[in-house]
Amino acid sequence: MKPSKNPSPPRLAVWLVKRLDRYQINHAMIDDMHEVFLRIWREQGYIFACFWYWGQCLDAVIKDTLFNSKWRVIMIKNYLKIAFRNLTRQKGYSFINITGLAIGMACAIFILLWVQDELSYDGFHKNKDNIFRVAALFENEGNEVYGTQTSAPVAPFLKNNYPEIQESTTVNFGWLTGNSRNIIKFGEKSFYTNDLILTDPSFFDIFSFPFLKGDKNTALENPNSVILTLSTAEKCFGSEDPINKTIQVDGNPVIVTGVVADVPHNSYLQFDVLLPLTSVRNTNRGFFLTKWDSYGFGTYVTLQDGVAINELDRKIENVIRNNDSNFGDTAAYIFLQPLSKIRLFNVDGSVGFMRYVYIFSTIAVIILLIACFNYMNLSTARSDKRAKEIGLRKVVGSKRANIIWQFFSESLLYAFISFLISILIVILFLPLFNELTGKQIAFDYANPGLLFGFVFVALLTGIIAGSYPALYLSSFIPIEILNKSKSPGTKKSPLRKVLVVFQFALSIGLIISMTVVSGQVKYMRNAEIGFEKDNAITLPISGKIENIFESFKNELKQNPGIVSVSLKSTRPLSPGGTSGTISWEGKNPEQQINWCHPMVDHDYFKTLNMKIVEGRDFSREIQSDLQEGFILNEEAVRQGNIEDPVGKQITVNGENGIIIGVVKNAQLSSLRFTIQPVVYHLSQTFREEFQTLFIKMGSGENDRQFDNIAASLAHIERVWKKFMPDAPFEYQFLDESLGNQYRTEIRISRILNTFTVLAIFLSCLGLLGLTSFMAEQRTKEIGVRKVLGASVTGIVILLSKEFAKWVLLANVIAWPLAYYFMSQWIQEFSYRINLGIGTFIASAVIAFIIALLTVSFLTIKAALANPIESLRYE
Amino acid sequence: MRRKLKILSVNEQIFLIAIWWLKDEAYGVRIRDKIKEITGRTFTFGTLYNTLDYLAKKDYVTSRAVQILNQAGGNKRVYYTITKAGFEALRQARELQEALWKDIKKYAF
Repeated sequence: MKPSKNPSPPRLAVWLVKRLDRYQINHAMIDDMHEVFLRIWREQGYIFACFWYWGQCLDAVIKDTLFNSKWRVIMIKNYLKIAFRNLTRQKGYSFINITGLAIGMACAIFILLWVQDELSYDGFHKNKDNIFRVAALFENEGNEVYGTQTSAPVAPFLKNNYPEIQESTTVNFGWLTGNSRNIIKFGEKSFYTNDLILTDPSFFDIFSFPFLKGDKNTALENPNSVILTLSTAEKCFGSEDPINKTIQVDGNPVIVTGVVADVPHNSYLQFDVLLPLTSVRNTNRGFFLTKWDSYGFGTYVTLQDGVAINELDRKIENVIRNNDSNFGDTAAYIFLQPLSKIRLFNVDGSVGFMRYVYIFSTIAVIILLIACFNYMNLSTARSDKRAKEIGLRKVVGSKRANIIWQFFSESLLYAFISFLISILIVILFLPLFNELTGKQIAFDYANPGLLFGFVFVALLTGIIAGSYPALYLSSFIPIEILNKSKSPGTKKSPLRKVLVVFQFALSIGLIISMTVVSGQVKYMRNAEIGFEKDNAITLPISGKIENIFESFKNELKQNPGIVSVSLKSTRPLSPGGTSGTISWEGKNPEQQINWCHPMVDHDYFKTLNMKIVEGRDFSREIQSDLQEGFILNEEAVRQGNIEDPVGKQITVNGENGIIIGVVKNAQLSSLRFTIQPVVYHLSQTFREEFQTLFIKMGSGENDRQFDNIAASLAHIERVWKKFMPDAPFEYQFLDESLGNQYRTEIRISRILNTFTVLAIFLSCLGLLGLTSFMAEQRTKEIGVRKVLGASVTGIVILLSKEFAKWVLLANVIAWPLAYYFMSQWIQEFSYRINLGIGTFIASAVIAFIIALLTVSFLTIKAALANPIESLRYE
Repeated sequence: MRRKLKILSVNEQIFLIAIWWLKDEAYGVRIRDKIKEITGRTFTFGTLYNTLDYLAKKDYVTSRAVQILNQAGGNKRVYYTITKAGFEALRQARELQEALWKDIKKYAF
């Protein structure tokens, strides 16, 4: 038999065996295996031989790994033992490290929870990826204005005419009932609903709000039916079965036909009472259900499988324009917006609240990085203490990889301990965090994604924190270390300075952001708003008070603390629904206008102390004001381009009248938005339209102000109970409700403040550790200097100088970055503060002072030390 | 007082005895065959070399590598020879066995 005819064993197996440590030691193994392989091939054939060879090979691999891993485990045990010894030997540094990492990780976990909660919005719907909101786009003189609502006929029309649409539903957020707040009454109990919505039966085909009682298909069919959420039902009926019981909603008897589970907090749609849209069909607002140009209805659809949204958008965009015969050319285009984007994105598709998700994620990373930098700095600064150990390990044969492993296992140990502490912190402070953010986040241990996220954070922290020490310390050359002529840790390491500078740059950036955000919030809360918001309360009022209103008002005014009482046809802070057609003398017929058109009574401007800048206020003496008087705000005059407005003819929704005055602009909505043009009109015939009662109270003498307000409120309550026994007395101070409009901004600002303070704290912690190390390093130098006559101040300055340099350098990095991001953020607001250089300088000074204070603690201690002590050292 | 005996594992004894039997022919494949002949068990090469390395580490055997030319299969063999210490260990192992079984009659079990 010729050797060339012999087959060779499987190459992959040979390659594998050659990789083994065993093979490195004893080369004969592979040759022996080859020999037996050939023997088996001769006796039992090639395939069997190959199997045999593979079996041998795998067995060898297993034996080899088992043999090696035994040693690895022993080494890791040793690494951890050394790490523990270091941890306990240098308690100060370990404390700084672990506190820093724990706080950093806790912050990251908090933010992770927050982000997770934000992203979880509307995730509970079964067909969440297939639900779309129909949004509107108005074009007005080249401006594009987006709206989130369309009109009521859109939903049925879409479903009937487009086979791509699977289901469609219309949702009205309560204004259709004609009341700004809705009262539920059952027996003796009566209370306001929080969110009443009106909708149609297909609502439950689209959204997954689980039914606890009743049949979801028939529950909304009867116009006199109502669906309650569980907690509302319990509020009414306690533990009784609510089905088929009759309750009163705004005085109308309705039958409870269903109970759904409470709406989760992370749902975009919030409601506690559901009425059928058909319930208003026979009222004087029933015509809204067929009106194509009344943009006050949310429309939601689900699509058939595999429908391309872009194509469908193009098909449906003109639905309203084609059907709305009155406003064909000015009517809205419609398009689809995915449900998943409603919460975090603006309706035009731009980044909305998602911005904050990005910002906070960035802050989490920044804080974690600062904590990691602390660890890196401290462990490399202390490297001379470890240098001998490393040198010795190398001399007795440890490879560089071993040292790297050692330091990684050390940093992972620190990260693990910190992780446990951070979990504790999170559990302890979660209620506080919830209060800060206005959320109800629960620590969900069972959520595997979240747990994975946490462990990932911990691992990442350990790896980032350990990377530099591991790579840096393992690079020491043993002969240099053991020679002891110099210790390698003290040699200038630029990276350490870079890290400190970077850390402070991040902190300064956060300080600047914090100042800008809270400045903007403060500005918005104190801005010139064009009316007086103090000492005024608002009460929701249902329309049917026409007969009693005058006597109600008179009785209220009997108390000298009540200055003025007024009514308005909208919710307290809403400028009013948009009007239909408006025209006036000299109007450019091409101009499209979209003005707000609230009804008020004679005392409205007096009550809110709004200044009439031209013409006059509504007057009771002049009878014609009731029908013909119109008052515009300055913005309407500006937008309408009306010259000399007082006395001009005006027609609003078919009613002819005269402009009798111009009132100063009032900023009712958030300063995020611009002021809208408004035309005010008195209402006699439409008294039922009134929704809000304004009561202005006198402040009296300043020191007795509180008593006066309290007495006035008590009086109002008495009168209210007398005239409106059915309606709960739930008032809101006007300034409070104005403040509530900035809730998001205030929360964001508070979160930012908290995390900024933490970031600064962490940076200082790192600085503290580094200073103490430096002071220790220079003990001898300080001693010598003192002996030669240096003053304490001189030494403090000497030691602080370096840190001061770093902090100044950090500003150079922080300013442009902070400027860029903050000017982006502030663009969102129509009315905003300027990003002055003052903010930046102030932030720099703050950072500088904090850094110096931190450092001074240790430098002064070092400078005051007795030189004898330091020179005797060693 | 008796002196303490070195204790070899049964595997090590088998290996050493196999090497002793094979004399000059003691290389991997042959050792494996011989062990099969004695015990009826086939060892994998992983186990075989684990044990051989261990014996070498304890200085019970020495090894020498030999190049083999024109031979089907591998072209290298490592031959093992028992050292003095190895013989001593074997001798003691035998002594231990005999001490263990001393005075126990064959029919005891």
